[in-house]
Amino acid sequence: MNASLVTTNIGSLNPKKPVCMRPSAPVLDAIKVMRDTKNGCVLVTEDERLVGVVTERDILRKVVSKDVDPATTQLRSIMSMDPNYLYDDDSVAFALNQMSAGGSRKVTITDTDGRPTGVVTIEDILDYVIEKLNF
Amino acid sequence: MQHEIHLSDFNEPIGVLEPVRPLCVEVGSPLRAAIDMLDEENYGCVVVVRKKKIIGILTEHDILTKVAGQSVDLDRATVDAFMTRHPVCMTVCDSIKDAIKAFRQHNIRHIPIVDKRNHPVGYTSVRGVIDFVVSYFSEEVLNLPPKPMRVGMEEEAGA
Repeated sequence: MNASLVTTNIGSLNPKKPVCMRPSAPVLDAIKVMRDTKNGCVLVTEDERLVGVVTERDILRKVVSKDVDPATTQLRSIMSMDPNYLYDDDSVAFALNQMSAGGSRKVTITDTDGRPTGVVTIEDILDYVIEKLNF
Repeated sequence: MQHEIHLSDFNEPIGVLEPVRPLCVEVGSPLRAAIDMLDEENYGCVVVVRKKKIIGILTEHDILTKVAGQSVDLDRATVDAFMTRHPVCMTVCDSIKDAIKAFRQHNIRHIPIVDKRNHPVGYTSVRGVIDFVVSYFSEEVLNLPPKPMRVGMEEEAGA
């Protein structure tokens, strides 16, 4: 288990297809998409490249609790900039590092041009551990 | 903890995950009070109690799906209308393995931990389990840089 954690590529965890929106998109659209697609985050892209991420926590802390109108607010004003990302041939250990030491619940996978190709969640990692240990 | 992780390690009680203290609000509290607590404490859930006994849980996922973008008056609405009633609960003696099964079976991220009187004393989370797993891999995981070294690639990607 320990060895496979270091050597297994994160791409083999079948990352979910990301939901991407432009920085100028209304927050309300992101809320609807996150709700309808059961995604915990929306990736913000410009010219197809990852520039930010909006999570459930961003919605709670920067919109709902501040009484911000999501219909007239753009994603650029609430997104977290410079989100962590990995390539699909990086090991699961790097995702664990970002989630445990970095505190994130999701890691974005991009291609080498910075275009998002998937999202790996903390639940995906848990499922991987369960599978490896034959729960 | 530096040995290879085994299935039997997950028979440990969830108490070893060092559950954090729960945020609690009394039933009937304004929704804003719960949201302000989640915001200020940077928590993912708040436990709803009646006379100290747990009756529900309100998570940031509930806020996204039931409150955000909808006409909800946070000062007039109460937590009861948005919480999940009868949440899955465990005691500190239940195993990590059982917690993992509950997380995946019910598709939840947080499990309140209660005492014999059904009073919330903590909660555990998927993150707590992942941190437990990582504790077996301190050298392989925690000593890594946040991003893999990719000489010559970052500039090309314009990152």
